[in-house]
Amino acid sequence: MQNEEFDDLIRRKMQGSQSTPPPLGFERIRASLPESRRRFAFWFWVPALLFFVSAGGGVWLFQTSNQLPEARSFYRESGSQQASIQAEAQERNKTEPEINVANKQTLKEAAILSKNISADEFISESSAVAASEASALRNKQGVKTLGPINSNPVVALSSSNSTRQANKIQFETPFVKNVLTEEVDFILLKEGSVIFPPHHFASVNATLLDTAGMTWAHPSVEKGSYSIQFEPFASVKWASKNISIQSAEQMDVAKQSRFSSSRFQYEAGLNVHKNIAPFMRIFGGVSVSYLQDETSVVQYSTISQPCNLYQSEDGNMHLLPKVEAHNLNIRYRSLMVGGQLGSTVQLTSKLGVWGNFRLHRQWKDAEVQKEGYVNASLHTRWLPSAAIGLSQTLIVRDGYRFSLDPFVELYAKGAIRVGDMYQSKPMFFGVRASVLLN
Amino acid sequence: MLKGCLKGESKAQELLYNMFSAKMMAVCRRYVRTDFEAEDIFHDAFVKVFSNLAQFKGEVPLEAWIRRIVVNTAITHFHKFKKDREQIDIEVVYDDAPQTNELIENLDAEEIIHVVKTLPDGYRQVFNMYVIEGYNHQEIGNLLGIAEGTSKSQLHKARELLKIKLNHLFAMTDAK
Repeated sequence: MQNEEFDDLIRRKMQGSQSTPPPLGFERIRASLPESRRRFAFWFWVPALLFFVSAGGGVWLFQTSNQLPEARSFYRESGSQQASIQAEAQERNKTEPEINVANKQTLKEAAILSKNISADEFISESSAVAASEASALRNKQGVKTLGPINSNPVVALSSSNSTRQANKIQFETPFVKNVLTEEVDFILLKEGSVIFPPHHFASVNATLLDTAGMTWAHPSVEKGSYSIQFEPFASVKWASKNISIQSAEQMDVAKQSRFSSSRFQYEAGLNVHKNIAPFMRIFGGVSVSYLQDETSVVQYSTISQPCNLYQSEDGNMHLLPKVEAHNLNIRYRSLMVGGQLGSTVQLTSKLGVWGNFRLHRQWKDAEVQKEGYVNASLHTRWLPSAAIGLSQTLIVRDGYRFSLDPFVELYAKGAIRVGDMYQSKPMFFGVRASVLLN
Repeated sequence: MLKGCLKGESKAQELLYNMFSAKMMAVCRRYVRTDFEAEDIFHDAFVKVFSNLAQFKGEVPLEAWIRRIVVNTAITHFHKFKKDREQIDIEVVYDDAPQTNELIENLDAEEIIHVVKTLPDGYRQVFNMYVIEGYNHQEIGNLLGIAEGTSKSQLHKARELLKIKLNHLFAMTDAK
């Protein structure tokens, strides 16, 4: 056979040949097109912008919401002021011997502890007795009244002197979004009689949590970015922290204090997700959680029994025996926008509103909370993955208080997922360990 | 359809893709040994097609324009991974080359593609470009970076080797 003949034959055979193109070929090609990349860039930068705005805004709000500079200034000045404060206190003791609240409380609490009464009884009694004198003291000194506090274990201390506004420092561990949050920079007890300088604090937080769940999308509503996902989930979370407090010389109740708490939270719920654009989705859901909180051990040298430091509604400080809190939360949430960079790095920013209906311990103190929520985090999606995130939560509880809880979160995560995070997936489960540094 | 593609409309692009994807996939498969490589070339080629569609002036049929992009992409792929490829030098035995075209008539395109894919890389490129795509030796030499004489030599060897392989395939099929 001549070469030309052979070539013609082969050419004729091959000219009409067809092969099946790769699956999802068009989708992959389209995703690689420059205009799709521009669209991706747009949707990437939207959450990126949210991330930086929320992070920056959070820092700004936090810096403006607390009074750390004032407090530090006060602390620096405290050397000269302590003398006058103490002189003032001594003068008051001469004229009103019972007004030395700290000493009085210590004695009272020791007595109460020896009687082994409950924390609530103690609060009631202590509050009733101390309310009038504390109120008078605050009015006299221009102290801002703290609103009712969450009956989650909170240590909130207020202080003032005759020339300055009160500094409100909250030491709080809200179990919102699986984190422990603190706003501890310093503690000033009333009238400057006890000072915990900032550099004397050391805190270590650790959070371990397990999450298991399942997500599926109904085939009838699963189409591209318009899929709707249902995500039932259950989780068990455990958190623990320890804080050591080295008191200042002026402290007249203790030389060293320790605080620790551990919590278990069990949660189950259902989220519904809807992708509204590439890399952007909204979700909402309902969950029910049960929180068991055990808080214990603030040790003062003058009191041998472990107890908590607690502030009652009138602003007085109390020492409480070990507290067990039981909360039942019904929570609805939220709006989330997120972005994804490649397949391994994910930038997520969340904006949303949360609502809480919370039943507190002994089931008699129901409370409804509304919380604004801003969160931004950046983490990788390797399996297993390592991640680093920066988040802050802005919590506005109606009628109670404004609280901003910034934190930097470092965590490692292992998970097995089927499908893409932003696409429908049949199931996921994972274990995550978090160490929060703040 | 072209106007829609130029505007970046997804439906128009999908229409164009559906029109030519099967044919172009076959082209891709002829140029490489594995389907994975073929899919890579296919993907890259279509990205180029959609990205450069504004340059299509209608001087040649659209299919020919796309095919040229696919072939060029395959050649680029060949150059890119040339160092990684095993250099195979096959001594072709010409003596028993089949002399009948009935053999090829009895094979379908898929079987021929399968055999073409087994040719050594250099042979396969030259054979595809010369026989199927209609490039001349000068163009092939320029595109592949080889001398014109080398192109001719490789084409000749490719033809003979292909004949042997087809003959062998035919014999096996016949025996079954």
